[in-house]
Amino acid sequence: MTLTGQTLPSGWTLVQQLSKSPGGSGSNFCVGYVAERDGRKAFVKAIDFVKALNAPDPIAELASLTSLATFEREAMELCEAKNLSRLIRLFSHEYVNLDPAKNPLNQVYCLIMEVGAGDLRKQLSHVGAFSCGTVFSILADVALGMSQLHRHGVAHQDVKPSNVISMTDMSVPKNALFKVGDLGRVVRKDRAGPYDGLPWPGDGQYAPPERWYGLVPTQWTDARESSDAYMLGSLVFFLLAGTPLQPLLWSRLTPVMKPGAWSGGYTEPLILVLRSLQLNIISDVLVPKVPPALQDSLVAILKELIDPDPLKRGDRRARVQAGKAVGLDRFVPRFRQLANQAGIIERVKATP
Amino acid sequence: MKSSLPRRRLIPRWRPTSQTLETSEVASTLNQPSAPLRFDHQLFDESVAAWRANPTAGHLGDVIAFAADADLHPKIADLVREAQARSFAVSPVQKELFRGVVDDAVHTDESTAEGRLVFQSRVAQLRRELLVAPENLLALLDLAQLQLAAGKVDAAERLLKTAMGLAPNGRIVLRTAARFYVHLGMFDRAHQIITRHPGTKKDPWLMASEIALADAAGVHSSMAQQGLRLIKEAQALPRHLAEVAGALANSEMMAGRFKEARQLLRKALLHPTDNIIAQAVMDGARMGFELDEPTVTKAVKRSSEAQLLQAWQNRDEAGAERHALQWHAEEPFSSRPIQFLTTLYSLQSEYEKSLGWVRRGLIADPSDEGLIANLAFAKAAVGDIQHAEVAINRIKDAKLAPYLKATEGLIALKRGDFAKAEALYREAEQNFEKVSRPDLAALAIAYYAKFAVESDAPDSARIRAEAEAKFSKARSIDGYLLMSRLVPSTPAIPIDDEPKRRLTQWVFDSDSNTLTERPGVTAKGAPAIVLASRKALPPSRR
Repeated sequence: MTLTGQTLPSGWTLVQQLSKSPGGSGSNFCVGYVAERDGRKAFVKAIDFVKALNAPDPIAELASLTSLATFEREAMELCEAKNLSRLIRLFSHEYVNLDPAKNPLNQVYCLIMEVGAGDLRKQLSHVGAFSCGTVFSILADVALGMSQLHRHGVAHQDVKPSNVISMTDMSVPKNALFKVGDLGRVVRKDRAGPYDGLPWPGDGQYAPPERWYGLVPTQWTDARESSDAYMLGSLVFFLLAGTPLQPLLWSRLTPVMKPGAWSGGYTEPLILVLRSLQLNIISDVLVPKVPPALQDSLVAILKELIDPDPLKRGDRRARVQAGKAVGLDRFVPRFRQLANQAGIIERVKATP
Repeated sequence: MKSSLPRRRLIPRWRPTSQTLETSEVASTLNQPSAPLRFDHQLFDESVAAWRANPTAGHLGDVIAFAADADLHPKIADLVREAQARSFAVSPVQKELFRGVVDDAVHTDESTAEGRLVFQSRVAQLRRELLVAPENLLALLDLAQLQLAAGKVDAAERLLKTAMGLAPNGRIVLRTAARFYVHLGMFDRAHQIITRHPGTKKDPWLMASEIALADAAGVHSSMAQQGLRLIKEAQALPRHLAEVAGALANSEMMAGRFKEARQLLRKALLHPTDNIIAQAVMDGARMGFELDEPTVTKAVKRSSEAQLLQAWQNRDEAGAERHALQWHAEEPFSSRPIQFLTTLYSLQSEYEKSLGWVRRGLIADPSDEGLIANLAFAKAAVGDIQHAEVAINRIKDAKLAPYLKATEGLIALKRGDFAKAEALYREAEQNFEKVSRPDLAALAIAYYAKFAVESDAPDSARIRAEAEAKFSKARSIDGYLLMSRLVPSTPAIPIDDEPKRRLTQWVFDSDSNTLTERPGVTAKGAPAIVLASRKALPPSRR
C-alpha cells in the first residue's frame, strides 16, 4: 500500500514515492518518499512491519527489521546530538497507521530526514562536470563526515556515490556542500549492531580488496575505519574518472590472482601486487586529470587512503601514534588545501 | 657461425611482470581458497534502472562498480556499449574498461625504427610511473629489465636493489635478481641470493631456482635432496612442485640418469610452466617423450621459446623467426633469442639483418662471446674482414675455437687464399669431430661449400659434393637449411618419427564403457589408448 498523500502526525505530507527503495538487508520492507511541510522537503524512509509478517520467518524478520530501524535511528540521533555537520540530519521518527480500524499491527515506522538536491551519481552528469576544486571540496566534506563518525566510534561502511548527497543544486560551485547519508549499515564501537557479524556490511561492489579475499582484520581501526578510508579513496577515482577504484583494480588483476582463483590468502605477495597495480592506475588514470602542481599531493593522499594493507592504510603520522588511528580527520585539511590550490589555478587559467 | 641454441637450464625466467603475473609462479603455496565476487543482483538492477532514468556518467559509474562480478560483467559491457551508441555520457576510463581483450604483448623488433620507438615509449611510461610512485615494485622490475636490455647494467642493478629492499621476501623479486646475476655471468652471486634466503627451505619455487643455479655455478645443490623429498611426499600442490621436478630432471639428465629424469620430467609436465615446457621441448629427443598431452600442448602455446623450438624442429623458418621475436619481446635482455635470430639470418644469407641483431644483443651483453663469434662470421660474410678479425681476437672461450677456425677459413676465402681456407675449414671440422659433433663438422663443410662456390674457389664443385655427402651422414636442421639453398635437390630431413614414450595412457574398459587415465611413463611406442584386461585393470605404474 502506498503512503503517498498521507500526512504524518508531525505534519509532513508524503508527496512522492521514490522508485528505489533505500538499501539495507531489510530493503524489501523499506520504501522511500519525498515529504513536504511548510514548503520544506524531507526524505522519509518508511519501514513496513506488516509486510515483514508475511515473510517465511516473520518473527526473525520482525526482530531483524526492528533492530535495523532502531540501530539506524540511534546512529542518526547520535549525529544530531553531537552536531555532526557533514551527516544527513534526522528530523524525527514516528509511526503512521493507515488502517481505518487502527489495528496496531498495521503501523508503518517512518524516519524523516534531511533531503538534498541529489546524490553524486546524479550530480556527475559527465566526467569533468566538476572542476578539480569542486572535486577536492566534495572529498573534504566526505572526509569530514566520516571522521566525525569515527570520532564517536561509528564507522559508515557504505561510502559510495549514492550516499554522498549534495545539499545545493550546484549552481554556485563555491557554495557546494555535501553530506554523507544512509547510516543503515554503520557499525559502532560502543554497542553491538545488526551488521557486526557480517564479513562486510556495505554493498559488496564498494568493499576494499581485503574483503574480496575474505580477510576481516581483528582490530576495529583496521577493520572499520580502514575500510571507510579505502572507500573515500575510491570516491576520488569516481569523481575524476567516472569509475570507482574497485572495478579498475579488478580488471587489472590477472586471472590467477582474482578472487575465486587465488588461494594464497591476503598475504604479502598479493598485497605487493595490488599495491603496484593501484599505483599504475593512479599514474595512468588520475595523474593526467589534475594540474601538475597538485599531482604530488594528491598521489600522496591516495597512497595512504587506498593502501591495500588495511593495517597500513590511513594517515601515516596518525598510524604511528598511540591507538594507530586511520586519521581521516587529517585528510580534511589536505583536501581543503588541494581545493584551494585548484581554485587558484582555475581562476588564473580563466583570467584572459 | 655458432649454431642454433646452446644448452639451457631451468634458470628463472624474467618476463615483463604483466606476463609473470599470469603464471602459477605468483601463486602462493598456502591453501586458503577465496570465493569469486558475487554482488547483490537486485541492487544491480536498481542501479541500472536509475541509470536508465537518468543516464549520467555518475549513474553509469555506479553500474560499472559491479563489474568485478563475473556474471554481471558482460551485461555491464553491453550497457556501456549502449551508452556509447546512444551518445550518453561515457568517460574514456569507462570505455577503456570494457574495450575488450587487448593483446598487450608488444613485439619489440628493435632492428626497425618502429620497434625502437615502442621500446623507448615503454621505458618512458615506466619512468613516469616511477616518478609518481618510486615504490611501484612491478614498474621497478620491468624498468630494470629494459635497462639491462639497453646495456645499462648499473641502473638495472640499482632498480633491482630497490625492489629487493621493498620486497625482500618476494619470490618474483628474488628470482628476478638471481636471473640478473646469471645474465652477468655471476652464477655464484645468483646462487647465493637464493640459498641465503630463509624462504628457500620452504618455497618450492625458490628451491627449484637453487637447484638450477647450483648447476650453473658448478656447486653442490643444498636443496636437491629436500626438493626430491618434497616431490616424493607430495608436500605441496603439484603446480608448485613442477619447477622443482623440472630442475631435478635436468640435473638427473645431465648426470646420465635418464630413467629418474623421465619420471621427474613427467611430474613437471603435469603442470608445466613456460620454462619447463621449453626445457621439455628442447630435451624431448633425448628423453624420448611424446609431447601431445593436452596440458603440454596448451603450455607450449603459452611459451614463445617452446613454440620457437617446435617450429624449428618442424623446419618452419617463418614460424621460428616469429616466435624468436616474441621471445625477445618477453626477455629483451637475453642473448638466447638473439643468438637464434642471428643464426637463422646467417643460414638465410641475410647477413645485414644478422649483424643488426648481433649489435642489438651486444648492447645487452657486450661480453657474450657466442654473439661475438656470430659477429665475426657475419662481418666476414659481408667482406668486412678487418672487423671480423677484431671480433675473433676478442674471443677467449676455448669452446668456440672450432667456430672461429671456420670463420678464419671464410676470411681466407674472401682473401682468395684457397689453400689456407681449406686448411682452416679442415681444422674446424676435425675439432668438431673430436668433441663428437659430426653434425657441426658437416655444417662447417656446408658453409665452406657455400662460400667456396660464392668465391669461385677452384675446387668448389668437389667441396660441394663432399658437403652433400657429409650432410647425408650427419644431418641437422641448420645443415639442411644451408644445403637446401646450395643444392635445391637436398632431401628434406624427415621430422623425427621415432617411437616415443607417453606421459599417460588411457585404458578403455568395454564392460563398463569407461575410459580411465593411467599416469606413468610408458614404454617407447605405446599406444595412447589400450583396452582393459577382462579380469581387472592393470595396476597403475609409477
